[in-house]
Amino acid sequence: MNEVWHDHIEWALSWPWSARVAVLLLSAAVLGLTWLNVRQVASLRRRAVLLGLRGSTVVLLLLVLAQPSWVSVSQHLASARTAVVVDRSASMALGKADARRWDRALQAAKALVGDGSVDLYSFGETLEPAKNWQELAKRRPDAEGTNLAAVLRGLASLRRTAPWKAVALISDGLDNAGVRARNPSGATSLDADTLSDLRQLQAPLHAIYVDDPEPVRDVAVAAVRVSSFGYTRTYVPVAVDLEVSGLADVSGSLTLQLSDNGKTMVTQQVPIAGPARRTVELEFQPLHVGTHILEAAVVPLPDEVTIANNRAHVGMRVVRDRTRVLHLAGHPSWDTRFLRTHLKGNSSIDLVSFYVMVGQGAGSMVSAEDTTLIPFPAKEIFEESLSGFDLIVLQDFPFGPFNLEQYLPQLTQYLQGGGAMLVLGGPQSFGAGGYAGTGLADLLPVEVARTANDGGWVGGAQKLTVTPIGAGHPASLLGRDAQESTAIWQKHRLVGRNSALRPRQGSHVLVTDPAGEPILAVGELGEGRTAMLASDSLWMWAFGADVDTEGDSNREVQRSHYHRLFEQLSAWLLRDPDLELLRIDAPGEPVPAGKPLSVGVQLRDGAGQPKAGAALRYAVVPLAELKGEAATDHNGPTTDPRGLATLRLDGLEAGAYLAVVEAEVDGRRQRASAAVIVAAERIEAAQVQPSDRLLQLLAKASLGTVYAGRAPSGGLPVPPVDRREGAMLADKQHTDLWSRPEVLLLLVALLCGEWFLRRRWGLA
Amino acid sequence: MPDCWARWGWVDPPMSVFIKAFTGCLLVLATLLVGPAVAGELPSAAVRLAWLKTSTVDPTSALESWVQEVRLRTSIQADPHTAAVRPEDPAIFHFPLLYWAGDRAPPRLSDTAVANLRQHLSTGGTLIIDNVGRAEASAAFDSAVRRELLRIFPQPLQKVPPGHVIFRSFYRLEQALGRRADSRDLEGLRVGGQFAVLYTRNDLQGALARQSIGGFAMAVVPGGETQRESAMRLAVNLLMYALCLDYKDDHTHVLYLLRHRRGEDGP
Repeated sequence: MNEVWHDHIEWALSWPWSARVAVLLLSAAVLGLTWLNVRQVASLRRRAVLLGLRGSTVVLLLLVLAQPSWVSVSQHLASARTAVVVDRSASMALGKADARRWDRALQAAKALVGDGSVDLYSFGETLEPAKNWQELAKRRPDAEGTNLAAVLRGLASLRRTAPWKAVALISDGLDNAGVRARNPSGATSLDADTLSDLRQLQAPLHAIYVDDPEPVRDVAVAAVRVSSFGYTRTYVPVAVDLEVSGLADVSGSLTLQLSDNGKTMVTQQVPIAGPARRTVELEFQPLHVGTHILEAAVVPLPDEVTIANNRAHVGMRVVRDRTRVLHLAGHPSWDTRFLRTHLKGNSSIDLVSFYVMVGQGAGSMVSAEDTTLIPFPAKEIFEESLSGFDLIVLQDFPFGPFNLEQYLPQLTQYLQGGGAMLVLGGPQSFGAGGYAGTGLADLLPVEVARTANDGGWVGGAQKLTVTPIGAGHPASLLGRDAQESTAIWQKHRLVGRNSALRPRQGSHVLVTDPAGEPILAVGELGEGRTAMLASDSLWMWAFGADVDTEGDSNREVQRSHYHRLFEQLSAWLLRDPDLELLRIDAPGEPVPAGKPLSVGVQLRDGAGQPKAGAALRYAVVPLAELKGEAATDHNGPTTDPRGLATLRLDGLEAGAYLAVVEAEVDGRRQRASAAVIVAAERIEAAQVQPSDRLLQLLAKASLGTVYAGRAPSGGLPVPPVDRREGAMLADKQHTDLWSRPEVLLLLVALLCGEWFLRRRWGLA
Repeated sequence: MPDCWARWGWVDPPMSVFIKAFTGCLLVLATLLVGPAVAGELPSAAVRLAWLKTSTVDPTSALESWVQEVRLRTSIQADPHTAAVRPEDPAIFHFPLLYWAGDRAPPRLSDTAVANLRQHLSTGGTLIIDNVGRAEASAAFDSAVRRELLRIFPQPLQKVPPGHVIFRSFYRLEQALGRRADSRDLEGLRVGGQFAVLYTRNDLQGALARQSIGGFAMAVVPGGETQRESAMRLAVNLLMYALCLDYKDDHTHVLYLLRHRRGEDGP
């Protein structure tokens, strides 16, 4: 190897010009002052010696500041070599026992080792050098990732010591660390980052694509695609990309399931026969606002090489665009009239109403030909359309005449699944309407007694009392805080109420009459919510009919309380996130196992102010194991002055979970939950089917070639420009001159010498 | 009727009719004893009609007949009692539906009454005005009403379109007839998109009023009993409109009714 040396001094002075001038001026000043000082010395020799010593000191200091260094440059001609890089990620272990991808890759590598100018490497997530083929062959294909970008960067850095004649990449093409994601299916050229990495090689990249002689048996959910947001109760299309291989001899169908936050929403059979890559279109109806994590899963078939890729997840946000309200009234009344006006006045509400218009004894005075009456479509509503509504309002609706009994399973299912129902009272509802002992009564937040001496209805003015829970409860909050809300409730009255009602365990009575009889109560049923108001005279608030003092302003205030009450009730029933005192914010996307996982918590008091110092309790329950209400069995952090806290949920295994958080606000338990998905840690195991797509792109961009399964018999081709045997490489060696100890000793000697002579010659 | 009576078989159908009649008599007696509504009391939650006391016309009998027909034909739980209120009385806010009848020019409404009515009608109330002129619509009442309405809302009365939901809020009606048939139309004032004021010049009250012994008090001209039935249907529709507004304009209803007319099956 020829070697050329070239030495020189380099100055590291990188100060700005102004600093350099200042230093020179300062040096000149020192020398000038020294001259003035030594002028009194009579001897010319002594003056010259002292001035020389001071001048030498200044010059030495200036040299130190300039930081000179001695640079020895040696240039040598390095031999160009071929890099053979073999993929040893876990997917390379697939294939039949005697013909695994890894085995075929080793054979291809062995074929390239022959000419002796080959550097061997294996790679998974990093580049790993091997001294020889024997050492490479001892390695196992078990790396838990495939990172082609790391391979390109690693080879580029090694090129500084030896240029590459060519690079041979032996792989099944399954990158899972970025290159694949940056170059999705359909891309015709590489992305800029990968191209930049590739150019650093300054050599062609040839790929030897190792696939399977016989496809491995596998069904993979390659991707679940859905819009990033959707609307409640509006069907959302979901596309599931399936990859099927090695099942040509299998008939029948695959079972594809789509789950929403762990709950199976759709199950569909997909014929096995068909294209290897296919997309199945599904749709589902999100019921709640908030984060939804969808899982598409294929029930595993026998003998699949892996089941790690049989499921995939995707997150989406669900918002409410319009609220669909079903308003069922037992008869037209002022209460229905003003509620209708309230609901119709909200442009975000789609209202569907059915009023019972005819009494039992109307007879021949009301014929279909003369009237505009239509039959009550109970079957259509309860069996087909119920899930399309966000809120059902039953207003003084009798139980018997419309065979509600037969539709109770649908109504129960609707509520259990997250629906909402508001039952407004009157002489035809609750006990007076025949609810006692029926399934409908079981859905209410109060129990309805079977018999009552008053027939279930009490007339006359009713004063109102707010319970401690009701004072700050969002469903009944009429003021800015609990105190103001209580005062407002106490100002209002109602006329007539349903009687013989008892609080149901687990529900909350918010407002009562002075004797403690429930007037307003709320409860939860499964994922749904229900509320009841045991009177039909709330219209008087809407009309300003009951004010203490006369005047338009009082009437207007009372009207505003009517609208506020129904807004609060609706918002609570519909789980309006803005109304929840406790809110948790979970990641909207699956979090890889082993990665940090945190859930944000926000807590407010009844007045909407941040709740500081509140102790949190929480639980994390696998969605598949969730039955009923999850008990919060862990102590969590306390909220900070901003009412915020962070729950660390690290260490969860792959799967879907429900994170439940509880806190107490004003003596009332607040509870919030959110779904959390932890993705499988071994992403490598989820990718099975080999693909030469990326290898083709890499080879094309670097003027290389892709070979199927084995190395070319004539060796790898090298472009003419690189046919030389090597390249001139330079090696620089820096030696600092200014930081040597000799320089320091010389500086000390000059200063001491000057000091000694000055003392001796009688100078200060 | 309490459930226990029927469950134990103590009441047979003829007996229940007797009890209903007896109860009705008691209610009438109670009404006489209690008298009209008094300001400051809480209203009944039930649908109760009230008339504006501005003249010597007393429509109590007609309103009771109106209520009776409504209870008979519809599911509306109308209060058999009616009330009389003065327009300046805050008690008008106990009655979302007000009835104003006259056969001559009423005295000019006080400013308080005008403000009261404006507030009442602006916030969901309904005023039904009935020109009960004997032989023909009273021109004096007509002009006075229009004048007073202009004080309440600065807009003239307009004709209610024939296809408006008022004409199909319960019965299908082609025209708005009363004891007379001077005009086939209704007039009204829209407030907030709805007709808050409805005006008939055909003496609706005259078609509904009954004698104390039960028969109708006045003959209906020129259509006789057919016209009276039409007037009763209008009365039902007016009350139904006040309670349900544009309910019959809902898509579901319109769709069904259109199908029904074409002979298709409904929902």
